Amino acid sequence: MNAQSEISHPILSVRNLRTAFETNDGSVEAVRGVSFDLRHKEVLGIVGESGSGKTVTAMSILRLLPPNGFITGGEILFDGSDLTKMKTGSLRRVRGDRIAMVFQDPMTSLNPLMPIGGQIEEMIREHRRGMSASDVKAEVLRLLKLVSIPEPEARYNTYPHEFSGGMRQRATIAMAIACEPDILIADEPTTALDVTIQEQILILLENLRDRLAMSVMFITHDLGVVAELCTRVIVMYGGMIMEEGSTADIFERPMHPYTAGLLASVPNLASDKGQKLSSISGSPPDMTHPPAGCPYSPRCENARNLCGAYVPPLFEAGGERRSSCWLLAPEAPSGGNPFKAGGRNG
Amino acid sequence: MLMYAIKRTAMSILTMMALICVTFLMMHAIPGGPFTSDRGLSPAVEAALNEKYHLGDPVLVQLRHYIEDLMRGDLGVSYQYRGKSVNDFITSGFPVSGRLGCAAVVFVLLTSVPLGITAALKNGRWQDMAVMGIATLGVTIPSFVMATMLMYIFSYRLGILPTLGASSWKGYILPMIALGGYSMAFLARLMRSSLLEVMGQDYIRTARSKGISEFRVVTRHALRNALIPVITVLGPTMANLLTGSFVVESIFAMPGIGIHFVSSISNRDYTTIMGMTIFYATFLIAIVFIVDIFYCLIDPRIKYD
Repeated sequence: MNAQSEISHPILSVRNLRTAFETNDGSVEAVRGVSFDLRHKEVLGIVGESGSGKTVTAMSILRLLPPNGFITGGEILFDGSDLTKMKTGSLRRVRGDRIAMVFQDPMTSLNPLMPIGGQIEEMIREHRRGMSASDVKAEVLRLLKLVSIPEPEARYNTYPHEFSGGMRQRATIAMAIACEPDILIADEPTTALDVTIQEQILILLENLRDRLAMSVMFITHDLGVVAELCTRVIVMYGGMIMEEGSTADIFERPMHPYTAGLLASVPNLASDKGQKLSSISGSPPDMTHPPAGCPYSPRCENARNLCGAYVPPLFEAGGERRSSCWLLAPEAPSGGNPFKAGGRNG
Repeated sequence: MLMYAIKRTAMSILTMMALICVTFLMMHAIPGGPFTSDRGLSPAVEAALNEKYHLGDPVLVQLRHYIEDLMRGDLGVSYQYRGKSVNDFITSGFPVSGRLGCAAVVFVLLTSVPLGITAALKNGRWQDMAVMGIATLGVTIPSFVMATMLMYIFSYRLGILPTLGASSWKGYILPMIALGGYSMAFLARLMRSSLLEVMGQDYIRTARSKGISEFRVVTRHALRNALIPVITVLGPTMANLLTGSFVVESIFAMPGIGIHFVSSISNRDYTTIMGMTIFYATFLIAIVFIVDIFYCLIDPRIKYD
């Protein structure tokens, strides 16, 4: 723990981030006031269901939102400057070189008309101006080897469609780490892959993190992956952070009913085969009309009148734990459940 | 690739044979013959003419004779214009139609692709609206209306371009626009929608995440992908433009081959109908073949073996 001081220093600070999409039904806020730190050399897991805002949070960092998406508030501090207000030219020098991304679907995230080698090369040429062509090529071959792509020389000129899914994801990882970024944002990098390949990719990412001393932001909906890879976890729901803590704390002592519900619905080898898998009843909130209070309250077993009306703040719960639930406020009024009263079954 | 070219050539020959037979038989199914006319030739004269051109033989025998001649490169003599062979029509008319067509192809390419790109990149802004306005006009206004309007404005009002004829290069400008207007508009719309779709793809986001300039994102990653559907349509479009147009050539009094496509049918000028059909089909097949090869060069996923 001698690296404690270095570890606790944040490399990226997201402060009260708000991101909205303009749609035909009006403005939809996908990220509603998210704050967190990414520390040196840590692997931070961001967990949540589809629509929880985890991917939008990641896209907001490098401002890679679709044309109808806008950061409407907050700041993203990196290396002393706010990425949300940075000029495009300066942001381009951060993209790829300082903060790189790996995307979810390797089948669609590579240009089908450009050879793999060329796509990796482009990254290096952009940020390492003045490197000779032969050096660039040698570097690409080294990277392909680093991500365990067999026969890099032969693979250099092949096109994405000639690669398998796992190989393509290795190639996108090679591209992302080409300039040895400070931060790697991995947006569900294993979701589109076979389970066996998933494991290989996770091991690869872990090795690379150690080797390159990167901080990794790992976005996933898979709690198993989180347990394996992440040092800290943020649980998101309805565009907000529900709970934050070390992986061990989150898994062993979840404070938020949503986290507890998620953990309870993970299948367990030790449990009785006849037992039905538990699930969280109800469905995620409609983000065009989000609930006034806690986004999880309509599905929450412990919901009270207060929960339906007011969004709970993130309560500090000792150490590095935070949880956004009224259960953590002993003085909060505890009467009624607005969602059960009407006979609502979710 | 060579195997593919050989296979493709063999297929083309088969297609041509089928096309020749079907056209020949359908043409003979049109009531009347080349020498049926309002004036009413005396039966004896008509019989003599039919005899001279072997039109009394069974259709299949005529077809055989026609194909034999065709193999020697002889498309026959016109039944309508005395002393003119179908080869004459093509050799005298095609240079004009071909020049006009080439000009139109260049015009279409140089306008539609940049317009489509501009519209897509300025999606929803005034540039987009303007291009889409032009494109909608181009698709909806028929070429003869466009031709007349162009003549009125540039020849009659402004007096800067000739109204008729193909005697100088200036005479080609208005027909070129009238001929290419529709294709220009159509391809501009296609280019726009194709590029818009590509710009929303994951690999464009990946390219942006690398920190490369937006210019490079568009030129290196988006354009090539967006051009694929445009190239598909380009083949038939080029064949259409290059083989002449009855309407545009008639209005501008260009001595091209376009007129023969139409008049030969109403005249039942058998040899000219066949000649024009074969000429157009050969052109179409050749250009589509060239386009398919281009396709293969631009998209590594397409393999013809």
